Amino acid sequence: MSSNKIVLTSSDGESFEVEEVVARKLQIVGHMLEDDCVINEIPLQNVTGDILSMVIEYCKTHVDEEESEEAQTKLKTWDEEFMKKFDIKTLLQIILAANYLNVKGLLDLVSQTIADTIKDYTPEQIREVFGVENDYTEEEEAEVRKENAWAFDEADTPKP
Amino acid sequence: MTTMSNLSRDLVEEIHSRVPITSQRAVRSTCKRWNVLSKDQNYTKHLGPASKEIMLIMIRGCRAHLMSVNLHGVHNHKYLVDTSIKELGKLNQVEIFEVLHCDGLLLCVTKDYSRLVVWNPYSGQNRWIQPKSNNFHTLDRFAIGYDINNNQKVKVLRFYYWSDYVEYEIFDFKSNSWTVLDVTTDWKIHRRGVSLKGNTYFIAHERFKVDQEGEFLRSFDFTRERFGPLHPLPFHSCLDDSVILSTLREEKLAVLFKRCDACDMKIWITTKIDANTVSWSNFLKVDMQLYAERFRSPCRSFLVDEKKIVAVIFDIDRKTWTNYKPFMVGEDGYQGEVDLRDSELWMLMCSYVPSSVKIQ
Repeated sequence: MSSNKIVLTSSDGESFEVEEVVARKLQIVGHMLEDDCVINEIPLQNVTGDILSMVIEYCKTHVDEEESEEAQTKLKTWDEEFMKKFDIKTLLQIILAANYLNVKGLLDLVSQTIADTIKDYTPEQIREVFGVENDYTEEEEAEVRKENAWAFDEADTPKP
Repeated sequence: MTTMSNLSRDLVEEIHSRVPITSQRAVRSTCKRWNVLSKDQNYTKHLGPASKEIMLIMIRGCRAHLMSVNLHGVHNHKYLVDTSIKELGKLNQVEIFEVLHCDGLLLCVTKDYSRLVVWNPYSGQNRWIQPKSNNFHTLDRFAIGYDINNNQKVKVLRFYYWSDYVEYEIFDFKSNSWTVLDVTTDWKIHRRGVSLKGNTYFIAHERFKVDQEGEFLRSFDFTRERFGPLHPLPFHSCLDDSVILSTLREEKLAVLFKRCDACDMKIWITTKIDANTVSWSNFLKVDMQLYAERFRSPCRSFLVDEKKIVAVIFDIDRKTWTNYKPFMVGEDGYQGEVDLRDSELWMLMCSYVPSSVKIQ
């Protein structure tokens, strides 16, 4: 594999020198390299240095994804630990970056992590944590509740 | 500050589609935009047939429960014992006796046979169906499907046999009424059917020649409102045998066969299924002579995992003889109990794959 180095520069001017194989995990970079293979410095407009460094950390770890069950389990554990480092605000920034840079694996991972957080919250908690405005009137809220009356309620808690 | 409002519709959708079905209610109550998004057709992509999770509908104390099957203990055809069925949610609205599944919709028969309800547990939409007279008959049997040419218009089939009398009726939500079908059959259905791609498949038998002719497969085409041609089954069965139909990820049929006096049990899955052709291939054979405890009489429904080559069947409880307990069976005759809390109280109805299809 090529050991060619590529420099990625964030919107706030931070530069990261990474192996080409790592840079190619960012599909946006992959496409640029295909279009013109002599580039070795790439400016990335929509991502700041602190977020880009995390994306790069993810790509470095996932650079050769082995098929073996053992390697898969190890990666999965790493992913879980990696996600634990971030608060919701940072996770939202990472998902925006993963989308812009087109890193499919990271996009899936962050989406799942955020979804897992949502699942344990009430609507009030979701609004607070994710900064979502409640735009329902009281009547509308009652209407939505009525519409959703036929849903599976939480499971009975198992007896100890 | 970055909030969810900064995210594009695609990204919000990507996240929401991974929120489990039991938490969708909270998502919809959060704000208008999320409520609209949540009802979108693409929304169930991670919950749908591509999902790794197998969901089931089971009944306990006349309430429908949503369950999840964990077969993670099965790796590379080596068996570990941590297979389990866990409860995800419960519907408290109505007491239910029977549940049938078609493409994310559940047809429920109420405990008192007074009404039917078609329910989409994902969207929460439900429509009641009243009988022509006061109640349905306890001998009434039902099936659910849809018209493929007509925007997936949902229909319900009711049939009733009494001695030589045969009656088939179809319910249409648009007219909100039952219509008698001009169909007579010289064969009968006495086992549960399963729906696949809008049609329902039944195990049927000739009225008077079951022993010679055995049983066969018949489909009901909800678009044409007619039964399809006879298709042979890959075995010869009689009415005392266990013959159960099930579906695989809304794509294939599976059939389980255990002769009432035999020690082995076999499962086949379809390799091709359309209006004119049904072909089967062997999936699993379990020889229970190898084991101290034989299966008695698998019942109602079962599920298969094609990749892991295992099946979960519900066999009659060896102590009480009245209830059904889940067992996992695999290649080389493997069998093991499946962990399910208060296992003797549950009844498996069908597997379930969420969809946002509308009842219309």
